[in-house]
Amino acid sequence: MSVHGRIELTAANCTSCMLCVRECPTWCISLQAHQEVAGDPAARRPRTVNVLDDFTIDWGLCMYCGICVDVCPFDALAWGPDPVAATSAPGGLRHGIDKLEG
Amino acid sequence: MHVHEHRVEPGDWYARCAELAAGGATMFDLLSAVDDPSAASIQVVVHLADIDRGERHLAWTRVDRDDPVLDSLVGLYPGASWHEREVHEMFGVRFTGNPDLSPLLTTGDMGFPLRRTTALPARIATAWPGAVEPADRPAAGRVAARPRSRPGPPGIAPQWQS
Repeated sequence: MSVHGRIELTAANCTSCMLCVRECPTWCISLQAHQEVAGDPAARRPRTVNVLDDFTIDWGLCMYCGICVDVCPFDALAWGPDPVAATSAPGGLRHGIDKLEG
Repeated sequence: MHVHEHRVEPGDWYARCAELAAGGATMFDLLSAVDDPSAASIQVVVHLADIDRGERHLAWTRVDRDDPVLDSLVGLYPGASWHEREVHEMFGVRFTGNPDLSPLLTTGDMGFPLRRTTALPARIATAWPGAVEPADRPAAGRVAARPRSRPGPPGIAPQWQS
């Protein structure tokens, strides 16, 4: 059985589809992204991709239900073994991409 | 352990639970409720266990949502008092015969928090993070196609959404 210590992010897999943010029952995930043109910009209909700017989980709100891990279609979220460390700073339980990447 | 489910009329609630208790279900595990506004009722469920036989009983009943009254099980299981107190506080079900239905947490100014029609103040004051659309920040020089319909937070009634 895997250890549900925390939820880890693989930012390279994330397409900013917002599924995890919208499914989260405690509203603990927030995400910012913008769109960029991918491929040939001179094409008649240039393709755009979402680029992830910021991904934050507020561990003070998270109840470790794992719904975000289940709904992610791209395996960008997964359970990791390490528990979230305690903090004494206000907002210290809000972890961005740098802290969420395993 | 095998689980027996029972659907009970609210009028038979005490008698049926007394039957189960006499039949060996001497352990009271929990009593809780589920709000069902579409059926204009609140479901109340009690979980009892028969330790000797290794059997469990789930008894369900439905009470009128506008006038939820049910007999208390305190006479059978004194431990039910606390659970009935919680159900009274969270759903507004009045248990006749329970000596103390005073609230545990609420101050009485926000309705019954676990009824589906009660707006939660935190959900009104907080901006839903799911409202963000990547297309709101389009690539330079391009007008992105915006989604036709914007989703609202699940489980939040439209009139509470800002």
